[in-house]
Amino acid sequence: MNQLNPRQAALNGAMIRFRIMAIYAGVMSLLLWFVSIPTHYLFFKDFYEYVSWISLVHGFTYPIYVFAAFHYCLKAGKSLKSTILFILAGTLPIASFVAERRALREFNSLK
Amino acid sequence: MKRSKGFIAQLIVAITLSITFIGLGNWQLDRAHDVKVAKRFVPDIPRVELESIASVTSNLEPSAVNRLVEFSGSYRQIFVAPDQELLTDGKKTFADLEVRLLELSGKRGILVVRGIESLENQEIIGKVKIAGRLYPRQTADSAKADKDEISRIDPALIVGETSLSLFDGYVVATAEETLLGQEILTTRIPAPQLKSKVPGNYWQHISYVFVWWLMALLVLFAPFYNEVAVKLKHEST
Repeated sequence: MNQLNPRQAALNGAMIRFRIMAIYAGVMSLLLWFVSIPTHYLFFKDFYEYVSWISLVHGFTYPIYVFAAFHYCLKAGKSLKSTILFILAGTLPIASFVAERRALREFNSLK
Repeated sequence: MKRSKGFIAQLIVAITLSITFIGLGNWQLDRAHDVKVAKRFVPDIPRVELESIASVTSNLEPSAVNRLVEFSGSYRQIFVAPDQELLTDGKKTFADLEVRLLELSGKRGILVVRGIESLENQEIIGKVKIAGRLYPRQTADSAKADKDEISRIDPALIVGETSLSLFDGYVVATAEETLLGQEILTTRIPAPQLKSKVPGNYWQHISYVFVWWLMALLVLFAPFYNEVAVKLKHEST
């Protein structure tokens, strides 16, 4: 494992928390958009009762993602616009995965 | 500390957004309350005369829905409502139902669901007394209707076939008897209370309350964001 430089070390904790929550929020968003919402409103409606927990769990854990993203952006000195985009990434499928990859790339390039 | 006009403008926008988000949180809180109320068990209140809670000149009041009613009249027309979902707890079942138009005094009529459709239509002559539960008209078709069939149980579908003024909604009969007190038997269907379908569940709405209120807090912090971010970045380098 590479040695972290001082800036990376200062950001490391917030970064790890953000990455964990970004991956988690991405998985939950995929389930929400492609399983929970279609079965609630479009097709296989009888199946919804088995997957209704998805929106519930996503609703309660999204604030944790918001905290993690906010804290990471603040510590990384990101602009307000970037912070808003990072927070909203947790609501769209794939977007939080993209945000996580981007954050990791930026973290690795810190000097 | 003296603040610029730009900062004051940002603060005003942030406060406005924050109030909006708090309002959205409160709206979700109301929805959660509505869900809770809709799913609460309401004990049946004593049976009343149909005319005391409904009339042919107005739509069915929400307070009249689910009420146990009684009334009397003579059957005029017979329809079949195919592929109707039965309101049973647990497993979903479907059946073709026998629906009759009952004429009440004063040239008024109401749709009565007698039970499961039988092959030979029972002939019922003269006045009958009916006890049952009042439901709102159906709004979605359950099947394609052929001759003498109705695609949903809705008085609007038979307006052109009768000269009677029709009550809104319909009644699922739980008992029928002649005026002499003789019970009329048929294969009845269950008539449970209809649960209001307010979408979502209680805890789901509560979770959205937290999300909106959290957003309200974060938005309030936005005007100070750059200041804090610069300070934190400075500390870490």
